[in-house]
Amino acid sequence: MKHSTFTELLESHRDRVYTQALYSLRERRDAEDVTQEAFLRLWRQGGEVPADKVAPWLAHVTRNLCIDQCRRRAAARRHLGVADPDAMDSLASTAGADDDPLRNLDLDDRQRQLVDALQTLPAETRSVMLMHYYEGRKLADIAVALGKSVSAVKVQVHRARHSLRLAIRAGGAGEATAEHRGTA
Amino acid sequence: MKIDCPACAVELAAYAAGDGDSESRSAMTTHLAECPACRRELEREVELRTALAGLPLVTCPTAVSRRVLDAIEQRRSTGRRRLWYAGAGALAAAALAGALLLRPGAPVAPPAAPGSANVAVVPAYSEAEIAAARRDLIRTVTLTARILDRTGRNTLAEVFSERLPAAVAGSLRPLGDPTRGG
Repeated sequence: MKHSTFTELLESHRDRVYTQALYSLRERRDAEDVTQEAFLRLWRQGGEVPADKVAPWLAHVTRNLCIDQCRRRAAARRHLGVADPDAMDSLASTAGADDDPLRNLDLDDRQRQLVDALQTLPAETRSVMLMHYYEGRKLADIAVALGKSVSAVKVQVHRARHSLRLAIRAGGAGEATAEHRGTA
Repeated sequence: MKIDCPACAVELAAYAAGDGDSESRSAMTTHLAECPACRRELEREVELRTALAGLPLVTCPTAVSRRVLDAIEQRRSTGRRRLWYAGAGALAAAALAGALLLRPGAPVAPPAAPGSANVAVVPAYSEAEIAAARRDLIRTVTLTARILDRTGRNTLAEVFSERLPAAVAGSLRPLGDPTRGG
């Protein structure tokens, strides 16, 4: 792939990739790392990804990287013996003196609640919700991407919707996390 | 086709997104017309869809682009450095092979068995074969350069794998080839 072509792709897709990672991970540095890695993988493909498939290819890679990052977080939690995921997140936030990356965004209350509630879902479920509701991908396409049946994805979305509602009622965490914990 | 509330709940996301075949959509429409609870659920689904779809795009810090481009440049320069070593190694091997092959009178045929008639000593390879081997080698080195440059692979082993000895030897037949005279 020509360097200039790659630079154009980087410029035109980076906000989309970063946004996907940020809503998925809710942590600025992790989102930056995922964005960087996604584009390095694109470059390593050496132009093998067709131009019209770059966006879904990046979305797919970003989703997988986010899931990996969530698994690393979960492993770190287990290793450190932190029982409460929120405690781990606040610990990381404090240690990094990191501002809330979504603080300056123009979100209404409902959206802010939803973004908080999304964090209570397992990583894969969260990615399914973002793929369908944010990226607008069809459930059938998501099923193909995940190697699942369409019915399984529909059930996953239905349960996630229920979990989001519980999480919003509980103030963004708690019940939904308890419902899904162990499946992340 | 009839649908009940639990099935309707599972199908709501697809229905609200406009997905699904006409039969299942028709069954959903019929059920929703009859069921106030599922209609409320559909309203919530639409609200969720609107809120999530409307999440704003976040601007990626420019430092990320710079880090990506720096990392690529670093790998490219590493690749070029390794390419130089690869090229130098291949050329050294070629020079050695050429020196051995083109040395006057070498290689020679195996010594004749005692008592047998003397056999003329002939060069092991023809000029055409040596030229072909040289072309193969140049082609291999050129290809290696392209692969290293375009893919960012970093080691010779990644590019050549087990083919390196064959690449250096080119298309020369083994000296022990029984079809040759000697």
